[in-house]
Amino acid sequence: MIKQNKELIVFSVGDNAISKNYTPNYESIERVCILISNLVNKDYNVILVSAGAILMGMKKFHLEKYPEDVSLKQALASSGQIELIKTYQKIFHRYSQDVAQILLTREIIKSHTRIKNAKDTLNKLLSINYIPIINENDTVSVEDIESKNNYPLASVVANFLNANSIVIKKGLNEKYDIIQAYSDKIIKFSSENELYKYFYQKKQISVNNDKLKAFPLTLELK
Amino acid sequence: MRNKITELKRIAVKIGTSSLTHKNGKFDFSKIEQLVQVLSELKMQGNEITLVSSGAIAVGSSSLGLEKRPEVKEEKQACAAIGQTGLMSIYENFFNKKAQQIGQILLTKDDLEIESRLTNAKNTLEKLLDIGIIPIVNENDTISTLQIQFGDNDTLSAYVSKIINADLLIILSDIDGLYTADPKSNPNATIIPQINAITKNIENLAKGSGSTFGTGGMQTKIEAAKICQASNISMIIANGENPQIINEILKGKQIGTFFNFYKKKK
Repeated sequence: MIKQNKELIVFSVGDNAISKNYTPNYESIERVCILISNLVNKDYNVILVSAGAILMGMKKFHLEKYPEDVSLKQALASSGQIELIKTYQKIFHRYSQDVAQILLTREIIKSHTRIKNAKDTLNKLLSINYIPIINENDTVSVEDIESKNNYPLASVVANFLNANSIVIKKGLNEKYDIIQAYSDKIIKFSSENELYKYFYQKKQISVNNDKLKAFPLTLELK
Repeated sequence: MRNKITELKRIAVKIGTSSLTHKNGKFDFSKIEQLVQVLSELKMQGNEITLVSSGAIAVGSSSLGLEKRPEVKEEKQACAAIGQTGLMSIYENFFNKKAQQIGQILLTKDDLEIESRLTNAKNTLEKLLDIGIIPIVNENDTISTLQIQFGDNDTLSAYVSKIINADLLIILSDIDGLYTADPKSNPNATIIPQINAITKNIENLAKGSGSTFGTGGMQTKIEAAKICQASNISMIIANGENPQIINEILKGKQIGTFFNFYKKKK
């Protein structure tokens, strides 16, 4: 089980936060890994919801133009997801973190059993200090294959796990949005230092799960 | 008698954990390397290959330093989530050495019962085969626990064969084929070389005392055969100890148990 009094952060990273002109930006991926490793070492539970599989597939097959054909996107995602996880694994290892892969669809909310299974797995992984990396299972669902950000999947995960906050990386710069489960306010940060300051100084709140508000399923991201 | 087999082009291969690991449950990389070599050569000869591979839990428990295969459900699922990435890395490294690219497909049984997901899975698999990427399919254990407990991917491999309309499904495990009786208790038991239809007799054979044959279990293999029969896809059960057996099978040699559902194919 998740250790008591450890807040859970769901970290949402869209294509735009780790790539430029459809090319993966490794510096940015490393920033994400460092940030998350720091939060984990500061006793937060962190789950990463990351896009990027199609981009990795494009790189693997030397495609410069973003494909239009949906099945081709799916095929690239199927191959690119392996590369994406390998990349995260390699970089997280530099900061002594272990990762595990979870592929989900947003439709999961329709099935009680699936949610329970996913919850059990994620809680187990967090309890043994693995960082779960979640992505859309593009093989069976194209719901999010077109979307520019993966906040919708992050919010579904945050809701069924009763997460305390969602952190959204806004682009290749250091801008982040934070949404809290116990407040309607979106906090905006313009540097990683501000983000660190917020999480390092913050007293982790042990909130009764019933008091947590649901995260909105979609966001107007500016 | 199996000369038709040599004409088959779209082939699905299912390999169980026991065929990929040492007796102690740890990975046997030489077996994987051999399997990859055989499959890569088949593909270069113009065949379309889809691999259904177990092994994520074995890799995961090894990463976690567990002495025994986990038994608690959440532990198995966590091991699967950890080990699937390792499993794919291993396959990718070996396949890349043979200049082959792979794609990862994680499915659950209920994915295939919902029309939109089934269509998506079919489109992805067809596209991968079309552009020459070898799909490697496994159960998405995180959200579905049935397969961890019972199936060991036998039925999943039959569903996948159905989705891609395969010509042949080869199921490799730690048994030589379907026997006339349990070979462990009956020294006169012999392998049934060919089955043309799943009869009540065959089902009883798999169910009865024979349910203890091998670790994969014969019952799920007969379940797989029934799915294949309904789609006119031929299937073979053979021993995966030496992956070269795939080549022998495709040469039409009498190996394992051949479920001949081919002639009915349109």
